[in-house]
Parts: sequence; C-alpha cells; structure tokens
Amino acid sequence: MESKMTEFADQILERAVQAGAVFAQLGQVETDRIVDAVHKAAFNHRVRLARMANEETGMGRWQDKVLKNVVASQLVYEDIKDLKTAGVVSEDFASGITEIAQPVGPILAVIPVTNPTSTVIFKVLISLKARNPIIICPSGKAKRCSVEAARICYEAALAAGAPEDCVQWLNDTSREQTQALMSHKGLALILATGGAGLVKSAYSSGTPTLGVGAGNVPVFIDASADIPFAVSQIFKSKLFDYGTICSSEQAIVVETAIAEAVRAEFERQGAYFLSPDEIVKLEVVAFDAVKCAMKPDIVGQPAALIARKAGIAAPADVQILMAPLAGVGEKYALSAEILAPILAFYAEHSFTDAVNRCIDLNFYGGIGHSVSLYANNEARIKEFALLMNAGRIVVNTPSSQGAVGGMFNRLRPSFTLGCGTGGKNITTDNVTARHLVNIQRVARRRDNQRLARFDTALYLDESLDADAIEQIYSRNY
Amino acid sequence: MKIDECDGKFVCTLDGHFDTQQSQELEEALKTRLKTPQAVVFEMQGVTYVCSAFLRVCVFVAKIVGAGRFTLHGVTPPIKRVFKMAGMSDLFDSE
Repeated sequence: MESKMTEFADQILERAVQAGAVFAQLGQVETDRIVDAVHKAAFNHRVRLARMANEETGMGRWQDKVLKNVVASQLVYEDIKDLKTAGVVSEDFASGITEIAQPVGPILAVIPVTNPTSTVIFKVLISLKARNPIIICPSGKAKRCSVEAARICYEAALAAGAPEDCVQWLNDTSREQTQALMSHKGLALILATGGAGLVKSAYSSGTPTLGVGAGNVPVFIDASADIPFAVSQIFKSKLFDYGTICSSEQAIVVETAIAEAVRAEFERQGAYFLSPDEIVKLEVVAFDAVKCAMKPDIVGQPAALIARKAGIAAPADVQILMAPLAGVGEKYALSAEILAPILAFYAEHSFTDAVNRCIDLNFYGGIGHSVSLYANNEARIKEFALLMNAGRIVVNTPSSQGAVGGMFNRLRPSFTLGCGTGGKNITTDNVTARHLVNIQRVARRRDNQRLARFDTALYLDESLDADAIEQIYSRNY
Repeated sequence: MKIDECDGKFVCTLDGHFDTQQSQELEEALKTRLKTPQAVVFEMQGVTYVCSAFLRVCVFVAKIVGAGRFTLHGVTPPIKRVFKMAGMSDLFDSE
C-alpha cells in the first residue's frame, strides 16, 4: 500500500519537477505572456465554470460564483501583471543589493469545495506568474468543476509556450494519496485552503505551507455609522454566494442605544430574528455539537431552505436568519463560524462592552482572520483596530468581498487569506504571486561606516559603555 | 488598591498601572485572608496596564477559590486582550 502511494506521488512530482526546471529558463516576457493567456481563458469560461461549480456542489449562487471567477482571473491578473517575478527584480547602487527572483518549485494546491473554480484559477495564475508548476488537488465534492478549471488554464498556458505538465490535477485522490504528495521530497510548497484538518495535515507534512486559518468575523456597527447603509452592505456580503466565503460576517455587535434601530433595519431588508426556541431548532440543523463545527449540508444554502429544514416559520422570502445571543462559546453554538446566511446578534450596554464582545468572537475560532467595522469616527476605527487580532480589518465594506480584496479596497485580491501566527499561518497577507518566489540577494561590498571609521579596539575596553562609545563615534575632529 | 470583604466575598478594587510591587501586595493580602471556597471579584475598571506578576496572581486566586468563584469585573478591551492572548480567559468569569 505504502509503495503504491510512493509510486503515485513519485510519478506526479517527477513530471512537476521537470516542468519546473524547464519553466525556470523562461524570462519575464515569456512568463507574462503565459499568465495573460491563462487569465483570458479563465475569464472567458467564467460563466460555464460557475454554473458547473454550483450544479456539482449544490452550494451558493452561480451568479456570485461568476463574480468570484472574475476576481480570480481579471482582478488577480491586473494586480500581478506588472510584478517582477523572473530574474533580476531590483538593483540598488546605494545598498549594493541586487534581488533575483527564482521559482520556489512544484506547488500543491488544495482547493476548497466552497470556491472550487475561482481558487483553481487564482492559484494557477499566481503559481505560473512565479514560474512554478502546480498540482491541483480538488475537493472530493467538486472534482469535475475544479478539474475543468485546471484543464482550461493548462491548455491556455501550453498554447502560450508554458512547459508540459506545468499544471497537473488529480482526478481521484484518497486522503493517503494527498498525504503522500504533501510529504514528497520533490514538492516545494503547499497552498492549503480548506478545512482545519486539511490545513493542519499540510503543516504537519514537513513541506513549507502557506495555509489559512478559520474565520469567525464579528461586525461592530458603531453609533456613528449610517445604519441603513451598514445593513445593506452586510446583506450584500452575507448573501454573496450564500455566505460561503470564510471572511463573511458571522455576528453583529451593537450598543443597546442603537440596537432597536439596527434590528428594525435588518428586518426591513429581509432578516428574521429568531426566538429562543427557534435558536435551539436552528442549532440542531446548523451545528454539529460533537465535531464542534458547522454542518456541511447547510453551507451555502439560502436562509429560507435552512429555516424550513429547522422547522422555523420564517417568511418565505427571508434572506438572513438572526440569532440574538447572550454569550460566545460552546454554550452558544451559533456564535461559531457558519458559512450560510445566519448571523448572531449582540446588543451591548457600551462601546467598551461591544468591543469586548468582538474580542470574544475574534478569539473564538477566528484569530488572525478578518473583522469588520462600520463607523464614521476615525478615533473609534483606530481604537477598534488596535484591539483586534485580524489580518484584515475592513471598514464600511462588505467583509466577504472586502477581505478578498480588489473590489472595495486596495487589498491584494486573493483566495488565500493569511491569518498570521494566531491562525497558525506564517503571514497575515492576502497571499499572491510575490509569496511564491525565492528572492536571492547579491550583496556587494558596502562597508558599514560605524565600523569602518571607528577604532574597533575601543570595544575591548570594558570601561566604555554604550553612551561613551556613541560620543566617541560622533565626535567632530 | 482596596480590598473589602462583605457577605463572605472579597472585592478587590484595582486601578492604574498594576505593576510587580502592587501585584505582590495583592497576593500577600489575599494569601493571608483567602479561604477556599470563597468568591473573589477584581474590580478592573480603572486598570490601564497589568504586569506578568498580576497574571500569576490571577492564576493563584483561580486555583485557590476554584472555577466559577473568581470574577473580573469591568475589564477594559486592552486588558481583556491581554488575558485572551495569554490564553487565560477560561480561568475566571469576566463581566
């Protein structure tokens, strides 16, 4: 069994390593031509791939998946097209440093079921931009559409002069096969986007990994915010692909002084506030208490369907289910991350209490990911931001699209959102092509003037402290 | 720092920059007076900074009085963040 696994991984990595070696010969112009061709091909298939993803997974809305494909192809391309990723990327005479970008090598891209075509397009584009071969490992529930996205990208890349096998994909992969690939010596890097178990196994493989942490995004609506605007933006975000993006809002936190106004606005725009009994019913269908995680079958489903499943008499046109909660943690299942149109709702006595509640939510499964804030008070925005542990603090912006970047702000468009060390990641950045190159530095001689014009024998004199040394160094002769 | 005892409950009102010396004073005061099981409340509204010794005092109190009897009241967000980052927020209730 083990030798079969090794053989399987050997075959794939042998092809990838060879593709990488050939790819490394290409310069920036040839590389950019390939990336341009791939982004156009992916963009031109955006609708078909979105429909396929929606039909195969049964999650989300195909129209929103089209927009995800547009972000992954067009916006990502526009963001990376001028980035230097091949050969000499910078030269500075003053410092004497020349930077040279080299490919990292074969990349294994783990693809989540929630964004199965957009993540393929995104990861292929950023990998090829850095001249790295990529192996696509689709989710078992989204194989057909992910493989089709990979195939489209590969054919376009080949036609534009990319080396054979620069994009490979796995049609049928067992967990053992994925693990054999992850720990293969020929693999350079894993781009792991998926559930916590999968990301952890990528980190445990011994291969460098750019992973993502889980999210649990609190939204604080400050008294200074424009409430109808804030609520409309939250709807735009939470309903986007029915909440499948990990940066989508999970809980609304307000001060009691504006709680009624916020609640009325949510109701006016199509939210339904649950009674305590209905919250219990919803917990049963939405949350697996044993696994301490959302139930997969409600992910990316419309609120009306989830309400029917739970036996909740919400209006037929309900858009979002709102659960007023008194706390955060295991006792309050709906305070955890749920990728569906469900929001927890907290009314707190003061700004301090509201921020404390956001800290609780931020630290309950979402450390390092994203938080959201609606406010027109700069001092409060800064105070709030300093207290959160989040790679992205999006302001007056739908958090799903805001954290992904490119649409409502100038964050780098990305489908791999780093969560920093709090989320067990190496970066809080929106991961992109610049993370997929090794930078070599040619360091020419430039003597450090502190040492060059100083009698270093004085360092041996213990009677001279730091201030005395500094005085000698700065003395005018 | 003020320590009151009423109805078998210790209420310690703390304020300002809570440094090592104050933490030691607090620990000494509680060591001699605290009997298990006894409820303890730290009134934290005026606290702007806590040192590591204070975190150790919290661990000490939580161990002595047991779960559910130690409460931090009026914790401001910056101090709450310290306890979250230190992984200590489960040691006590915060209000």
